[in-house]
This record gives sequence, structure tokens and C-alpha cells, in this order.
Amino acid sequence: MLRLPFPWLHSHSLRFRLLARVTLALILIFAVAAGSLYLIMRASLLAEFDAGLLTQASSLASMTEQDTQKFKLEFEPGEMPEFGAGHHPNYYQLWTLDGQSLFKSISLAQRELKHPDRVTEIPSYHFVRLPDGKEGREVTFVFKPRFEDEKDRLSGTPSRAAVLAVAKPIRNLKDTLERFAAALAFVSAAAIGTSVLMMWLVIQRGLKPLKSLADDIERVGADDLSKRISLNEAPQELTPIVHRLNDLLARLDAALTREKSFTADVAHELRTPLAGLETVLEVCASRRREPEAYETVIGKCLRLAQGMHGMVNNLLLLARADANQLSLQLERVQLSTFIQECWIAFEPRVNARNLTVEWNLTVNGEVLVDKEKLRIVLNNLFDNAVTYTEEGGRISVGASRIAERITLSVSNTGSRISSEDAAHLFDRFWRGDEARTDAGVHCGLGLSLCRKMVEVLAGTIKADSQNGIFTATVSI
Amino acid sequence: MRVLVVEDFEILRESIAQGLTEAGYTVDTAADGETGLWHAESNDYDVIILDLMLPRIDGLTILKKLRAKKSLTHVLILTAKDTSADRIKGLDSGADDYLVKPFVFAELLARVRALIRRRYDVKSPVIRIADLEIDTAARSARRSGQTVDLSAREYSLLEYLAHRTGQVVTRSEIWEHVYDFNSTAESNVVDVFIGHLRRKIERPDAPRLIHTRRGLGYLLGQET
Repeated sequence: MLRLPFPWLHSHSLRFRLLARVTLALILIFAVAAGSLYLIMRASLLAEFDAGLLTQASSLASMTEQDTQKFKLEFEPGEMPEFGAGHHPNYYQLWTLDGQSLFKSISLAQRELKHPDRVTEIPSYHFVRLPDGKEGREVTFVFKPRFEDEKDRLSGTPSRAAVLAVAKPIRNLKDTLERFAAALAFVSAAAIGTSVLMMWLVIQRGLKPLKSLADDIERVGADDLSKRISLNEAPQELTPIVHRLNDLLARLDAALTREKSFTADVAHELRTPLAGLETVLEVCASRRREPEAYETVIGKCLRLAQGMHGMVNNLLLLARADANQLSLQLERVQLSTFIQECWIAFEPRVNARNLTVEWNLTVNGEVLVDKEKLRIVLNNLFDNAVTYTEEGGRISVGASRIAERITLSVSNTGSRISSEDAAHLFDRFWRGDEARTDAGVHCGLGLSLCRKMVEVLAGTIKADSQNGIFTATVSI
Repeated sequence: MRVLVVEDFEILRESIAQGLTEAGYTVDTAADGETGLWHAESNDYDVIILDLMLPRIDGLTILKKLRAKKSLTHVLILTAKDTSADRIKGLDSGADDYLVKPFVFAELLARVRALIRRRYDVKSPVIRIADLEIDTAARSARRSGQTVDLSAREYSLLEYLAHRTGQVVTRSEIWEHVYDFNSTAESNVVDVFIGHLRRKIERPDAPRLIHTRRGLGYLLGQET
């Protein structure tokens, strides 16, 4: 953008800035227009003046005669009063070519006009200082006066040239021009003033949608993001802005809602184990008990604390992953061995629930992966499978490699969720049928943590549930 | 007094059941909504303690189904959902009380006692029948100003009879409200417990308070 050297042109008010620029442009246009008009007017007035001057000079010239000896003027001083000794007289003077003064007007009295230095037959005009000190304009030219006697011309008497200067005050011309300039200035100023006023109103009106947009935005408070900015009044130019703003609001709203429900969910998930902890301790403390009873209670409390610990860890991991604070630490891992290593922790539960496990591990050799993050993914998928498989059901774990891509899959029988709901599984705290099997140890965080970790590993995860078989597939 | 606890979180469910049992209540438990609803529909509970987020059938559905069947059982919702909207929804679905987790167990007990008083239309926690005084808050009984030493079961039996003062209470009602759900009702077991209670309550120098209605059951009150 062009930076003009006037700070007020860059005022923060759009209205003021527009008005200032328009005013500046108007002033420029009017100045140029008025200036041109003035110059044209001056030129044409001067031409008219000069024409009058020349007419006067020509008639003087035509009244000059010569004979063999000398020049004569054919009129009496009283016949041309403008050259008399009036208030604003005109002047003339006639010289021979060699500068000898022949005649001059009465108005000159003892004074003289300046003999022109260079003079031709083409009349030339100059501004001069008149003998009475006033400003004037003078025309000078050389001419050959006619012979008084036709005989002299015919007889070949050499004709002599004379120099004539006629000068006239330009007071009237100046007055006219001054009045004209004043009129121009006044008209221009009035036009600029009116235009600025009108522009102000037009801008005011034109910017109204902006103001109402600003009012609308002001109404959308931080605590109520559900309001949207109305599109009805917005002009076409503002629609993209309004759309963007509404999009932004919607996203903010969604993020805030997510945040709120996340906090509520965290509180909810922590409340149940806390209630358990408090009740176990309170009931236990209500009377004196056998040492074995205390042991049982301590065991229960420990389990509860561990469950809450796990949940807090998961939350912290999620929060760190959300804030992009997790870095990848790649190392060479024997994948099949690693998967089975992770599985060991689940074996007691698998045996207790009488589950069958099927292995399809076709990845040989080492792969480059972040072991700890993969462990979180596997633990959560295994945990999910072991928890939701029906008594005596079947779990299959697969791993395969195509080119550099590794696909891991964990599937289990006994799935009760629909394939549409499977997509929600990775949402925080989502649980099929609003139910929990053993809260406190499990919360709806596992699978969303899983997804987050897979994202950190630059992979994808998807879940499907078909004919009672739930399958989670990770590709990294 | 018989209480049903429907809660999916095992440790909490067991602790509540233990606490209630130790306070003299007969307690049944259910770990999911389906079992909970089945229990609630097949027995006459004095109070049901109901979690909202349950596997299979959620708490509010159970509550609505019970109310649709005109069940008079008092229901206390025990949940981690703590917003006013949740409370309003719970109470408007027919709950009698609402307690948010985590909670103080003593408060849960007090609320259960209050619900039982309401169930039997008793305002005061102290019930008086002639010179017999039963303090339901302290779970103690006095006759002529002297404390009667009762076991938890005996007290429960007395409290149940006291809540229904002046009414004939059948043996099976006593069985249902005072004794363990899992054992089968045997009328002579009830008679044995009534016998124990009589020995502790009745005084030779005072009018009898526990009366036998042959073929019907028992009645606690002054003979008119």
C-alpha cells in the first residue's frame, strides 16, 4: 500500500481513512481543474486584450504618413482622448529605425517609452511598467507609413520604416482575472466541502454492515459460543468473513464443549473409584475388625489406587500428546518377540476367562519403532480384547509387513457394538451402551490413548465390528 | 429392612453391601442393570440404591420401568453425575433421593433411614409404642426407660414391626424384609426370632406388645 506522508491518512478508523483519502483526491482534482480553467481564461483574456491593443496600434500606424522628408501624424491630439492626460491613460511613441523619437502621446508628457531593442514587423507583446508606475502591456512593431502623396510612392522615393510602441494599463484585465480566481476558489471550496460531507454520509451508510457485524461479534460472548453471526444483513463482500468467523466460532465451540465434557468425564471417572476408596475405608473403620479384614481392605485400596494411578498416567500421556510434547525414540525391535512379551501380562486373565488365542505373526527380523509407544498401543488393544471377549471366546493377534509398512491387528469374539459405533471407540470416554464393566481400572481412555500414540507413531488405527467380531487394525 | 444395591463397580458395591449389612439391613446386590431390574421387580425392597451408568440397562431406564409398574419402593440414585440437570432428570424420573459420588457412607446410611421412614409414613426417627421407645437413628430400643440389648437381626425385626405398628405383618413379609433373600422362608424360623424378641421386650409387669394373630402373622402395638 502506498504510504503517504500524512499520519492521519493511516488513522485506525476505516471511515476516517477513506474520508481523508477521498478529500485529498478531491482537493487535487479541483486544484488541477481550477488551475487549468484559470490559465485558459487568462490566455483568452490576454488574447482579447492584445487584439484590442493591436487594433489601436494599427489605427495609429494607418494614420501615420510620410513624404520625402519627414513623418506626419494625421490626427489632432483631442481626437484620441485615451492617449490624453487622463487618469489611466494609454501611451504611444513613434521612433525612426535608428531610435530617434518622432511622436509620442500627450500622456507621456516629458517621459518616454523604452525604445524596443529588437523589433520586427510582426507585432510583439510584453508586460511593461508604465511611466506612471502601473502595470501595463505593450505592443511593438516596425511598419512603413504610407506616403502622403501617391506620386512619391510611384516615383520611387525610398520608403522609410518607423517603430511604433503602444502601451496600455492592464488594470481591468487583472481585476477580471482576480475576480475569476476568487470565484473559482470559492466554488471549488464549496464543492469540496459538500462532497466531503456527502462522502461522510455515504461512507457512514456504506460501513453500516461493518458496524452491525462488529456489534454481532460483540454479542458472541466467551461464555456463549453457540451464537452465530447472521448472514442476512451482511453484504456480499463480507460473506466470506462472516463464514470464516462462523466456522471459527463453531470450531471453538466444539473444542470448548469437548474440553468441558472431557473435564466432566475425567471427574466422573475419578469419582467412582474415589467413592469406592472412601466407602471401603469408612465401612472398615466403623468397627473393630480381625486382622484379615484389614488385609482385604488394604488390598482393595491398593487396587483402587493403582487404577486411579493408571488413569492419571493415561490422562497425562494424552495431554502431553495433545500438546505435542512427545518425541519419537526409534530403536530396533524384534517385533514378534516384543508382541508376545507384552501379551504375558494378560495371560492370567486370559486363563481365568478360558479364552483361546490365535497367533498370526509373520514379521521376521527387526523393525525400527518407538518401543514404549507401541507397548501402550498393544497393552490397550490387548486389555480391550481380554475385557470384552465373552467367557471361553477367541482372540487373534496378527502382525504382517508389506514393504516398510507394518500392520498389527487384534480381534476378539463377543463384540456387542455395532459397526457404526466402532468409529466412536477412539473418542475419549466413549463406551458402548453407556456401560462399564469394571470402572476405576478401565475407563474410556484406553482406545483414545491408543489412537493418539498411533498418531505419534505416524500410523493409522481403525476399528470394525462385524458379526460379533471386533477388530482393531493398526498400520505403522 | 431390605435394600437392593445396583452398582457395576465391584469394590464399591461390596463395600456398600457390607456397610449396610453391618448396619442391620438385609442387602441384595446386582452388578448390572438387567440383574438389578430383575431383583427389583421380583422383591419388595424398602430402598433401592441405584447407579445410573450400568451395563446392559442404565439406571434411569430401570427407574422408569419400576415406576411404570407402580412400584412404591423408594429409590436413591447414587451416581458420579453431579450437574443440576442430572439431578433434575433423576428426580423427575421417579427417584426419591439423589447422592453424588464420592459420598460419606454415614450420610448414605442416614438417607436410607430417612427413605425407610417415608416408606412407612413415619416422621420422627423415634417410634413410641406405649413405654417401648425405638430410636431408628441410634438403632436402639428402650422399654420403660431401660435399654433393651438386641442383636442386629432382632433390632431389624423390631424396627420393621414398629414401622408397621397396629398392622398385622405376615411371616412372609417379615421374611422378605428382614431376612436373607437366598434362604428359603420357613415360618418356624420367623417364629423362633419372634420368640427371642418377645423374651427381651416383654415384661411380666407391663402389657404385652407383640401379639400373635393365628393364621395371619404378628402385630406390634397396645391391645385395645
